[in-house]
Amino acid sequence: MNLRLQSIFIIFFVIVIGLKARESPYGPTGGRIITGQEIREAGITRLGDLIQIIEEWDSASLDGYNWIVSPSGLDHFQHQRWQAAVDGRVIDINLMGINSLARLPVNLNQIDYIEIISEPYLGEGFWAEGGLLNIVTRKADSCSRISMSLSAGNETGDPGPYRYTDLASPNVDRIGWTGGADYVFGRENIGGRLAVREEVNYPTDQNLYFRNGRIAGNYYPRQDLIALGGRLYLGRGNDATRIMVGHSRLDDFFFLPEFGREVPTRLNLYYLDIHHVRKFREGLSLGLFLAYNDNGTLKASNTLDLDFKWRTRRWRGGLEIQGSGEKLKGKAGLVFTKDNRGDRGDGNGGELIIADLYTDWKYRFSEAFSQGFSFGLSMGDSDNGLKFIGRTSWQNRTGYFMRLVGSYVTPLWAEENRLWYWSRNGFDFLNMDDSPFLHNDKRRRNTIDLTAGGPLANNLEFEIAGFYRNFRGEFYQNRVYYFIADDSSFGADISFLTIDKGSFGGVRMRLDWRLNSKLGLGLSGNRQEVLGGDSFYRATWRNIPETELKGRLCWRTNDNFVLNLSATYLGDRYWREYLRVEEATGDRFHAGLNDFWNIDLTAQIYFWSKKIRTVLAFKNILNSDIQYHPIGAEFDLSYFALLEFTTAL
Amino acid sequence: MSARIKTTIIGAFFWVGLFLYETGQTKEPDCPFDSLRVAVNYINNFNRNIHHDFWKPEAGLETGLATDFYSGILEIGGTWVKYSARQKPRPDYQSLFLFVGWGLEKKIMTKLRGNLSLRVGDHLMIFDDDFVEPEGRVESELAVELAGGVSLYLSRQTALEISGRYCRVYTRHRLELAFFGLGISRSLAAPGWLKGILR
Repeated sequence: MNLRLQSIFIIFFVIVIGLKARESPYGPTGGRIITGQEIREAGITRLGDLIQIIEEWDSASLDGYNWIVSPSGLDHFQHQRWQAAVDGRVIDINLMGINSLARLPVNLNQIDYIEIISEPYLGEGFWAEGGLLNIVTRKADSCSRISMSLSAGNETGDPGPYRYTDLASPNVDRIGWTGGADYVFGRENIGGRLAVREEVNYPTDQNLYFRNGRIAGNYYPRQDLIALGGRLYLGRGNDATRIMVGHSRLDDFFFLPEFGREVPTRLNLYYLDIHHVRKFREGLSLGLFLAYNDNGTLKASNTLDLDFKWRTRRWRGGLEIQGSGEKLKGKAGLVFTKDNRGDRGDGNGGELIIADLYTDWKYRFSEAFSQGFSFGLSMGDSDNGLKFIGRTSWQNRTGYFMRLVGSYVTPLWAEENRLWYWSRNGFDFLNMDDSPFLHNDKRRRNTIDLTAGGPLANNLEFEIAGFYRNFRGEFYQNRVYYFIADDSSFGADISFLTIDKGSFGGVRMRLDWRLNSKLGLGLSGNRQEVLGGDSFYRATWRNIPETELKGRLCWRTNDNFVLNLSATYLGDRYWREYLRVEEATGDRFHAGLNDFWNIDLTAQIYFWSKKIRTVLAFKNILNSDIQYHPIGAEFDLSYFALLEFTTAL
Repeated sequence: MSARIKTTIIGAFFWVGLFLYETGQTKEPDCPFDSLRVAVNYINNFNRNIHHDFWKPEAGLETGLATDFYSGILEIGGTWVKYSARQKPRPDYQSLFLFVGWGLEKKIMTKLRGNLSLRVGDHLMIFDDDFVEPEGRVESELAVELAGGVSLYLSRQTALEISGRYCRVYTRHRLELAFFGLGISRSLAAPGWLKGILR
């Protein structure tokens, strides 16, 4: 990183402001909270872009629409075991190893807050060993509200009038639009929400245009999402029931890493989740739930005539008993999961039943000190898995705290089965050698997270965290991509490798300052690297940047007008798997990605007693060379505008 | 560090400094959107660069609306200029810059006030359809404009305006346009229904 730029960044943010500490950024589950207000002020206009404001998660994208994530080193970009939940209920959006957050049928303006859990976690009947993003929606108290929004964006760099001169250059991709409407209502014993949203994005950056245009055949490449979702809450006496239902359909240019390029396909998601809680007496309750998830792709027209038809149907049902006393709090549950995976419409999908038995306890030794643990046993497919999480926390009256979380997991093979099922179920064009993976029985993961912080001064909150991940017997794909000159696309040679031992660790730091009700500043930094492992493991983890810095300066008047300036520094990255591509294409595609600074500026204005919200956002105002993936888009200076109308009924 | 980054950082410091100065110095108006100022300006593109080797600028027109904001002044408006091709079959085109701006206004003398504002918006380029395929008729791109000038008040409500603008359009090869402006403005009290919507 340029030293002068670093100095300017630090001086700029340290001189200008001093500020009052905000409320604790952690929720009751220990996850870090990003409020809906912070999300709106950051100028986020699409659900999938939430990934970009999570400081402790690293991400990469080809098209700026679908993101792959490494949640604080819990996982590599290759695996994507992190999970997404809405109001605490997990929804399976993972399709062929890719999580696309955009597919969740929740509108941005329905979000009360999001909760980021970057350590292994036991949720409501599910384990999230690879991190969790929980979207908590707003509740309506004794009222009904309706809102509608429309946003659109554009990227700079078009030829303009020079199109008709010798200085002509290609037209730059368009950034699409998002439109949504939602309805929220609440009464004494009943409440709910409904949402509908459409998003359009064009994966037509010059780096993507030729290969996507060629495989699309006779239409201009475009990603089109339609999502519908609802939630109903019923409460009476000691009984409470939550029902969630949703559907999304995404016409995507789906990048399958094992194939090496995007393929047009339609992704379908349906889900239904019913959760009932009966309270027997104060401190004792029983929860029952049943969930159905249908997640699949349909073949879309493509010039290679590839059939990506694939479907995973998942039934989950279980019960959980919860009890709490003065010092002791605990729960225990049993969950059955039945998966039909890889059904290509011929009834030949693999079926799998997993039983999860788990318990979670927390004992408060004193006002300041508590100890908790979660323990689980998974059984299925003639295999057993073990999960353990220990949590120690200390907090004094002045607000200083320390938290230590350690975990030990031996996962079921079946929980990693997303890859090898494909090659067995008709995806023979992938031609993957999976034999080393199938014979691996030494797989286990350990993690340690230590977080400490507190008020450094009356107006300054500080936090520092260290994390360590140790992986044994972890499988990886040895991907070697090559360039296909005919249509500027890529192919892949894939083989599976098992890593005997590898580890990853780092430190994070965060500062929150607030001078008064108008000015706020946040600073954070991550430094992380591979601590052990062979040369393949080390090279593979260099996909993830070792250094990341973020700063956010926010100025509010009377809540009607907010200016938000955010700065991000992302260190360099290296994707060894694209070395052959670099050699073949010369200066066009590079295995190494340069570090960059990205500065965004967002203005948000409310009108008409907050009925109308407008946002004008500028991304990458330095017009830095921003690229997250060696064969992905380059993100130039862009601008977005949003108009939202909300009214009570 | 590249000249572009230096320029951007210096510019950012200038605007952030000015913004902080303004927010520190000025008491928030009790009633934002209380008054409106309507302005009409004749504008002339006077600079010359590679763009002008291809197109000759004609006279242009700008109209705008400005109002007191929570801090400083908020403005919206549009600028229209016609550019004639110096050589056919290159098409003529008309540019329409639709902007929103934020700025400051300070009293210099009893009847003289100075203003400075930063505007951003969409710079539409509408090409002559005799020479262009239908799908290429309209292009649009982000533009940023720095505008400054003085207003000489002829009465309590009416002022004569002399101004200058520097506009950058973010096409691949940037369009750099400098304008001179001369016009008239009139201040009005904002109607109640409009204030109700804006606040």
